[in-house]
Amino acid sequence: MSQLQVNRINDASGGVLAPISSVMRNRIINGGMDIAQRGTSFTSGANNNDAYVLDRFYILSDGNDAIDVTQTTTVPTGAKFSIGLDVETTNKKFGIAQIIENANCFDAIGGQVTLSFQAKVSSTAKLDNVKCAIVAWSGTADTVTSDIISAWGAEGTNPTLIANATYENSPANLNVTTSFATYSVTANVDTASTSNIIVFIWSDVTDTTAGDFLYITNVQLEKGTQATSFEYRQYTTELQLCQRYFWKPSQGFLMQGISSARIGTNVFFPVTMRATPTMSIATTTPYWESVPYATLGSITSAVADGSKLASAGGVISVTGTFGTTPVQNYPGFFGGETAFSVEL
Amino acid sequence: MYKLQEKNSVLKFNSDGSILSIPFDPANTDYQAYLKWLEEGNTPLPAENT
Repeated sequence: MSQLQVNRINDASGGVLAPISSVMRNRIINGGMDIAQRGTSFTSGANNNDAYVLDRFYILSDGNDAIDVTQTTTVPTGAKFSIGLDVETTNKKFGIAQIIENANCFDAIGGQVTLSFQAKVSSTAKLDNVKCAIVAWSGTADTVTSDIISAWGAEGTNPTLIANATYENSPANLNVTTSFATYSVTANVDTASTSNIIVFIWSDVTDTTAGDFLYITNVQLEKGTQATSFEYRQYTTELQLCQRYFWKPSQGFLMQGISSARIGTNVFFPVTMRATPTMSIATTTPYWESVPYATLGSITSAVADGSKLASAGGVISVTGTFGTTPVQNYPGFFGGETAFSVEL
Repeated sequence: MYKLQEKNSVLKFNSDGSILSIPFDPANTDYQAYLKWLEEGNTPLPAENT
């Protein structure tokens, strides 16, 4: 029996089609910027340096409030969303990054990888030097210092990275224009003891104009030296990939009075999370409707208690001062905005 | 500022008013940051019973 062995198939116009084996091709999660569990707009307070924005992506910027971030529909042909980085504080370098979990990149470490994405700027008058980097993390696996910047440096000078973070390519001006185009770089991830790969895309200029935008979408990191077409996953698949790191229930919880100052329930995460997550309650006013009284009351100083959680779920509780006092063993509705996070 | 919870977790009070309940899981990066804070010689507030 004859056997056909090929590494890739080119289409008739010379473009590269997806590899025959496309399993786990794109190591970036939410590269199409579709998933926005934390919201679609991040302004003062939510746009700090090192803050997560659209799922799996976080800001790296020279100071807080350097950019406002939005999920936008300013997109290249065929895409649905992009991330819009809107200059808020002028004359600062800024960008986005994603840390890839060791379990999702271990096989790419030690070989060639290619980063590709589509980008454009609203004006090249100032935003005329956009760069990208494939960064190796050689510290403990999945114990990454997410703010990998030690010093942002002068305009056009690549930022200095912290210890255990190493540029695997030589970042250079991509000459991004006001029209979407695909940019790619290839690097050999050969830093000794690399345990995680970080993708970093940024504006390297220090004379920016407020209101200028950098748009980025279809971010992909794959093994090999070729940038293949962006891998669109099913929405549910992409959402579940994100929920391994962050989950924000869209509704509240039916909880039970444990004491006059505590309510609780059990919870099952939609997917098993990377590790036991941090539980939080947003500062927006939570509320509690106790069934015996059928009275809606606010909660002051609501404090999340996730001490009985594990990666798949467990028991959560909320303590505080309740407008309507919880009654032991009676249920009620807790409407606090709760989230579970175990980002890298 | 950190404050111990009843067991296996610690609270973190952020400047924006939000409060995190951080598990004692070595793989949790918030817990890693807490350990670093302890290494710097800091001490969390004691737990309260509720």
